[in-house]
Amino acid sequence: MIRHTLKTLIGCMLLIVLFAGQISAQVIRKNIDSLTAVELATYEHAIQLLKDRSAENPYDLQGYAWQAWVHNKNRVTIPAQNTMKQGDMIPTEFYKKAAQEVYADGTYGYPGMCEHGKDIFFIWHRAQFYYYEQILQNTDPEGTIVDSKGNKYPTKNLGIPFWNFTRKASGKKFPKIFEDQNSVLYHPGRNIEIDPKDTSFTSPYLLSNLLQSDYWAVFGGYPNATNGGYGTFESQIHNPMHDKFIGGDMASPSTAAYDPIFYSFHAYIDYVFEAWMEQHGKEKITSLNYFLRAQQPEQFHLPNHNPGLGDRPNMGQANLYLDISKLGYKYQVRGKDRFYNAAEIAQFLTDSKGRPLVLGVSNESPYYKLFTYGVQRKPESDIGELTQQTLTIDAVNPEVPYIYTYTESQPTTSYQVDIYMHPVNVKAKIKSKKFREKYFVRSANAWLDEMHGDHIMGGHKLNVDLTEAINALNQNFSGEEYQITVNYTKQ
Amino acid sequence: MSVYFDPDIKAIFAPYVQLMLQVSIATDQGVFSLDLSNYESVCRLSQRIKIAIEGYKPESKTAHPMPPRKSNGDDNPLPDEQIDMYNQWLKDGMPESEGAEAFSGPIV
Repeated sequence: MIRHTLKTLIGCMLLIVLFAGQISAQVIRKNIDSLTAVELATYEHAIQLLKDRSAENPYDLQGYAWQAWVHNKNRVTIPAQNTMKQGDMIPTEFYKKAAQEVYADGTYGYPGMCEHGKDIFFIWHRAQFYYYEQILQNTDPEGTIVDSKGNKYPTKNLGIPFWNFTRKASGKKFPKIFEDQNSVLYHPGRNIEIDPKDTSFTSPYLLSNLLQSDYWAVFGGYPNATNGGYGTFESQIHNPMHDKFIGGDMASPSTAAYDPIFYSFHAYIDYVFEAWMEQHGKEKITSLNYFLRAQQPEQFHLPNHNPGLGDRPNMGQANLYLDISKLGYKYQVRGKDRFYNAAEIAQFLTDSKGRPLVLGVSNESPYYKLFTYGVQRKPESDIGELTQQTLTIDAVNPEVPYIYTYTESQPTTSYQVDIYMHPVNVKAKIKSKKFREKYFVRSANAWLDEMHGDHIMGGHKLNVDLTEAINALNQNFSGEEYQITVNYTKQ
Repeated sequence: MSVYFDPDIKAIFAPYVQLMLQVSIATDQGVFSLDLSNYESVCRLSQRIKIAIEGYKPESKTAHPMPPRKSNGDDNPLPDEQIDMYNQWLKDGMPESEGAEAFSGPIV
């Protein structure tokens, strides 16, 4: 009896130890505004150490410059012996200079090419962040290394904090710490204009509504093999946050990751990806056998990493990155970080008398309310280039969605399309607020820059799913002639 | 008239070799460089090149066309006859030169 009890006790203790080990192996990614002072200082310390490494050698794979290049730079020349030092240079200018330097004795390195406008957008960034987080954790695991600002904190349990950009910022526009000029998280050049009455730029209702979509391609992007196409999250939320709201280095794919806010912005996007999978499962996600291009420190490759047949470095196949427990992190979300459910969205999409907003009938389109309510974001009131096409309203099978596709050859700057659906006998008056409010259905944004040549053969198509809007119109206007008016504006 | 990689296709792509070497092409087989002067590299990525260069055709929904924009910012499309020649080469089985064995590796 005693022996049996002892065995049970030992078994239980073993289980507890194993369980505790499993938990401690998963760091927690928290809202940056809910970090304790020490947690925040630890994050700053780790980033400072990365920057200190790059100041001594910008070609160090575990430095800040290289990790930014993973997103920004296809190819650099690495000298046999580095002599470039940052000295008094502004860090970003130093990184840009180092990226362009050519050495006679050098060899090529291939930091990375971000994946955008296709179905591996979410998973590529997740892989990038897996390595970045591992590097941060290993900068000073036990808190024994003093950074150039004189600090030391143990970094082994560090998780990348996220910025929930759909909620009112703790600072004037961004989380307070990103506006603190004494912090390593501060980055000059961001667009700091905001109307104080607006809570944010992106509505939490819009994001929650997009998350309801069960169709992976619509939400997450179109298959790589068919030359891609933006999903709704990327074109309606991610892209305009980069080029319209944050600005500065974040406005361009070629410089975005130089700004430390990039990492907290995308950590939240990774949480959105996780939330979509929790709601809809992983089975529908496409291109999971694709290899994710980037040159990362080999010691952090996942156990099943397989480089494939190609001659360029990579982070392995996309399917390695589906399960975050195997990547060593989880999210802690509280209160306002949760998403609205379908009932809450339906309740929100009502007029002042509590009646549901009906597209084409109510004075306010439900999509207009989703996009604009309480936030800075509005459809453009200036007329750019208008294109129009006529459509007879009829039911659309969601399995074969109605996609409006916009593309242009070799675009060099970001652009936006605002889409309106209105009866053919109603003139498109973009400058009229009444028109915009009543007939607005979608806004989508392509995030591009002049270095776009570096992204050649990467795929760029702005796909806008109009299925839901057409089916909403079909309830009251079946068989009627409608016009789709697209207002194209450069950003 | 038969179309061969060397000299026909190689000549079309010659101006773009250096720039395209910067690009890494992600596929479900691995990540590859694109060396437009190399027969095997072009054959391996032949379908992706086709999508890219056809992006200039008016009816095409494909963006990201190759070759890239000129340094002065002007568009730099391949002329239709060169795109047609490339497509003919694909149709002919991608011969390297007269009498040479055809490419037998994977197309990714």
